[in-house]
Amino acid sequence: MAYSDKVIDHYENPRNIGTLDKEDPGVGTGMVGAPACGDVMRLQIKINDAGIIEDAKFKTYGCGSAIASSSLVTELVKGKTLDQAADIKNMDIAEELALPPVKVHCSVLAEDAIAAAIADIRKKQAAE
Amino acid sequence: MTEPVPLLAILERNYFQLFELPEQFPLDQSVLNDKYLHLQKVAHPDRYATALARERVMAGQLAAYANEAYHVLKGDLSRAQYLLQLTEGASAQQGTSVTEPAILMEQMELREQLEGISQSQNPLLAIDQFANDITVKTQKLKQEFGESFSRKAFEHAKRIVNQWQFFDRLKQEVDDLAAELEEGN
Repeated sequence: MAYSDKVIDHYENPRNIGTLDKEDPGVGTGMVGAPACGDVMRLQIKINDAGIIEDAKFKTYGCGSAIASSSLVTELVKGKTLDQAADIKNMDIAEELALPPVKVHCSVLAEDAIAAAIADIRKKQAAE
Repeated sequence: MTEPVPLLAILERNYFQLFELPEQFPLDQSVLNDKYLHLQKVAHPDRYATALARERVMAGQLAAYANEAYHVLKGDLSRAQYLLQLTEGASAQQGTSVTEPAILMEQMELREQLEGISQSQNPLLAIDQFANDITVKTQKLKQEFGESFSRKAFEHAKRIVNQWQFFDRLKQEVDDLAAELEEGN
């Protein structure tokens, strides 16, 4: 199966690989995994005082499409509010990367990772 | 005249019924092997050389079905997945993601560890130890699955299989890296 140029680009030059301090109250960490293919994905977002996502990092162990999906997501969420980020849907990711149908589940994983990261940050905010 | 084999009825059996095995996780591999060889004989094209075209096609289908069934039952993980599928009807876990932190955290850590192996002092030794750890953990999951499935704790059994799938994938990566390291040696 051929990967699209965009997937290859994100796979070979992944954006924003790394970690943020998960104890930081402004950082939300989302971890998700797909048992069917064994992929694991960690997405972290950091919001500033205005509630805007100013940084995002990811680490993904999985296929090229899963890595590209999470890499793209770190670019997409930056500059957005949590509500706006929550609006990013897997089909946006799949279309942008031209994922074939058998790889659409990788974009679902990335959407789930955003949701998990946002949930984590909201939990922290509620606890404050 | 040999007894005609009711092919159509055989094709409607599930994998366990096909080989006349109990629907349980513990499996006697030698029994499975014998039953499989027997079915391959029953379905052998030579036996259908003078049969009707319809029967020949069905014999071919039986051979393919037996082959598929054999491979699913032979593998521990695939047998576990198949058992769950039988109890649940359709398997609902395909494509769904897991967010259970303990499972994911462990996988993330193991993968980071695996990533560091090629830079370690003695990669061949390190990959060997890592592979052993994975095997031990997988064996534990296998045992735990067998126990929970036999006491019909299906939800727990499903959770175990989810975790097992991650280890199965990890094992493939360990094997790939081990092969790579040995080649470079």
